Amino acid sequence: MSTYFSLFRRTGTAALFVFLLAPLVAVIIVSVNAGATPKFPPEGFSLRWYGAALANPAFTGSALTSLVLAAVATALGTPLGVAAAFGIARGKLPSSLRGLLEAIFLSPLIVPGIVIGVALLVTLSTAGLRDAWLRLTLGHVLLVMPYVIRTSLAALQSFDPSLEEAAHTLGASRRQILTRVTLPVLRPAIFAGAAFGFIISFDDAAVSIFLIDSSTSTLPLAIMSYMQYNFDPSIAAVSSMLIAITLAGALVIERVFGLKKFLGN
Amino acid sequence: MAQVTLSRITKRYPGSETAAVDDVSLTIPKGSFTTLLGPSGCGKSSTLRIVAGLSRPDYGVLQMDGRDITHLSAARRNIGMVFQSLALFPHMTVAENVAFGLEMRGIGRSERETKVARALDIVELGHLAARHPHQLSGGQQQRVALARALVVEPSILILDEPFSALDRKLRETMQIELYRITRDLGITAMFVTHDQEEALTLSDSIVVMNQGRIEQQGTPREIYGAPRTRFTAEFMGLSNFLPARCNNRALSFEGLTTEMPAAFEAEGNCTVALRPEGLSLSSTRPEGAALKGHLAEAIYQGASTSYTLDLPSGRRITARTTDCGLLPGQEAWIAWTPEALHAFAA
Amino acid sequence: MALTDTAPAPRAAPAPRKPVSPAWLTLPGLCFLVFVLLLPVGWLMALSLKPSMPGAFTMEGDWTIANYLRFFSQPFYYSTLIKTLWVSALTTGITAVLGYALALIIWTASPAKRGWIVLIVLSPLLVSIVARTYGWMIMLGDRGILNQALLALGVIEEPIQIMYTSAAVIVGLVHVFVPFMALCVLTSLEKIDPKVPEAAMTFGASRWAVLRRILLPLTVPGLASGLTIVFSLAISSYVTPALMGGPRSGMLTTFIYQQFAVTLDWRFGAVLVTLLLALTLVVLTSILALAARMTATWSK
Repeated sequence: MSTYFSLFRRTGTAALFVFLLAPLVAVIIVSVNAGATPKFPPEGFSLRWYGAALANPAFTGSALTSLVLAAVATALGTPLGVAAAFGIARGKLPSSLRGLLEAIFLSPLIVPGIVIGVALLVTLSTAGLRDAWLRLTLGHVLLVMPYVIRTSLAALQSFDPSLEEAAHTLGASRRQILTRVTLPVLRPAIFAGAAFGFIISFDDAAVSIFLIDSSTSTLPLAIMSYMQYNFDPSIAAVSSMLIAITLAGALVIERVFGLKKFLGN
Repeated sequence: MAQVTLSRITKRYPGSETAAVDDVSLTIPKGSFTTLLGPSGCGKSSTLRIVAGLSRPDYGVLQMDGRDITHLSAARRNIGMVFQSLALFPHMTVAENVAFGLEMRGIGRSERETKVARALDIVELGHLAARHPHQLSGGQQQRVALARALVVEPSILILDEPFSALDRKLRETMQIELYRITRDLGITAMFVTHDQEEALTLSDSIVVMNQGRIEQQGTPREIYGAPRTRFTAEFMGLSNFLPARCNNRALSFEGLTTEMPAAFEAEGNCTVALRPEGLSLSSTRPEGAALKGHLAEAIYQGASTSYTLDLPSGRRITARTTDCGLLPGQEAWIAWTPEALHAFAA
Repeated sequence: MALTDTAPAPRAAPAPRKPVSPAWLTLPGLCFLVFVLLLPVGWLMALSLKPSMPGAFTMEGDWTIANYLRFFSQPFYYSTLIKTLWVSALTTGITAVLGYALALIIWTASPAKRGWIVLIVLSPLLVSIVARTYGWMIMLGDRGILNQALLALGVIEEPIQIMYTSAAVIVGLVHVFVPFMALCVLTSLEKIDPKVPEAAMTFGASRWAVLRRILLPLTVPGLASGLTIVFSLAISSYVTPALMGGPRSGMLTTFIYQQFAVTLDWRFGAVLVTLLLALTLVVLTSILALAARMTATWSK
């Protein structure tokens, strides 16, 4: 009985792991395929599709856009998020108001990305603002902010208030307490939220799809539109590079803060 | 080092009917180790936070060496404080933690390094200066917190239940160490605890607090040997309270009249307490004052045996004494050493 | 204690200057959210109550519910709602089973293996959505790995179409959402004293009974938050249905894209947005309320 159970269990586990990893492994294998189409088994090993991807201005240009956009959105969203988290955690608000504020600040996580994009497109067009960079930046700050708020709030809730009192009794002014004690202690949490927001922004397609224009596109959308007409392994090469980048980013977050804290509720 | 005086300090928190600190006046002499002792919620921590400047009194005056510091920011009071949670800065090394207060005072790097090294030597942590707090044991963290508070050469050292998180053995070691350091440096210290043994071990002077007020103040010997109120007596581990009357230093209770112990004063209705450890039992009537009781229970506890006796009045008395061979159901005479008898008003 | 002679005459301490409340720090972020999210979404919802007019995006025209009537009177429109619901429901159900299994695998794994298993379980999340979807296209395409394998094994004679069907959408969605579910359940599992299942076993409970009678009830909170997260993510997913279901995936989100980017009938599109938001809210609140009722007796 128990051997049957464990056999069942082992095959089940293996099947689940294959399901989780197969598409990722397939992408990497196809990316080093020498042939012109994503064939299986591959027709020999080659890095030519990496070269092709890096030489394609549609990819490189949009990759730059995505990087700058993610950086700007993170740079703007992080201070807004940290300030909001401070206000919520330290504002001594009645709990109902506090709950409402938290719900509002985390609402971008619930509102579908495509709705955010459409709503921004419609209102900004109505207001006569049609600049793709402006639209994208506003939308992406919205994406980054809740992650920063979430990690900062968690860190503020476990923050020992006597740390600040200790600094105060040792002669620190309010500003010195903030810059020398409070912010440094919160730094890993803020950094992790910002890094996660950066990845979300960099990876976003649903919000951006309505906000780009003919001359400005982000990398995920450039790949999507390339995929409509081409199926060659250069997409696999780009995808593999993206896998490497996100994996590196995730490892950094994991080292600094622990990944589980963001993904759980 | 400085003398700190509290005059009629009162503090009421919003939404609370009673005052957390209720008209407290107290002097902490220069170089003395004074402990505020009491159960949680008695106002001892509120008092300490007012002295530290972390909270402002609603009423009253706080002086340091005659200077009014009631409204002085904590940052300028020149205090050293050890927190219950220790509050070590987790992102700084041991040396950086200790140097923080010096840095805030604008002391130059070389002088800072010398002072930090000396402070760490005092707490015997010189070899761990480059570590971060989370790499240290509980006792070591404790010492860092102490060094950080001492290095600024504070006018007063304030300690808020600093040992409550430690296990018993480590706590005793740290108590001895704190005693040694404060007496060596001649520091004025204000200590808060709910642990009476800790207070007796460390203090020159103990202030027992209850419901925001000072219940009794005195040396450990006075507080332990002659509690003046039932609250203090209970808090110092006394039990066996019996109603009594005192008439011109003749003390009568449970049908017995004896002389009022010299250390106590009361007139009219009062309460007597018999320290369980100072009682002895025998089957025959001893000389001097004694009560007769019916032995209800005997629980062997190794070094001593705990006896429960019913008095004719129906009240119960507990005695902890060496095994006397009496068995439950027997009659027994209860006698006491002079120090075991306490009496106080009401 | 009596006042000493040297004590000064006590006086009432003046009321301290009230510092500015830190609550104001929420203001910049709040303004941003109001102007960039709440007002635009509100505007869009209001737009849905204006007569349909392709190309028009201003507030002109009388208030009307004609757009809603149009949506609910034509099967071509309202079927997207139904399809979105059942694809999301099926995705959520499959994700719940697989995610629960993975959570149990992580929970019972030895500490040495645990790190690796967690990494594998999280891997779909750590990879760009486009890269992940492309991987599935390689796997499931007509000449993809799965079809080639099945052909080689002789299970099928002709390649079967998987891509551009609801099955492909569901596979793609389950793949990304399984980590969320596994983590939510794991959070609940980790709160269970490992002695509790052991105790149940000493009373003669089988493994299956332990799962059904002990673990499942105790993990309701985690399961519920997993279900809400996964369902709301599934309902609002755009990239996976668009790429794996094709332009005619029949999902609400791809339909929204068409209305706003192709047909340019923004006022009718606003109806779809409003319905999508309403659906998300209703589902979220009902699942949370249900879970609260199920755990009300033993959890605080």
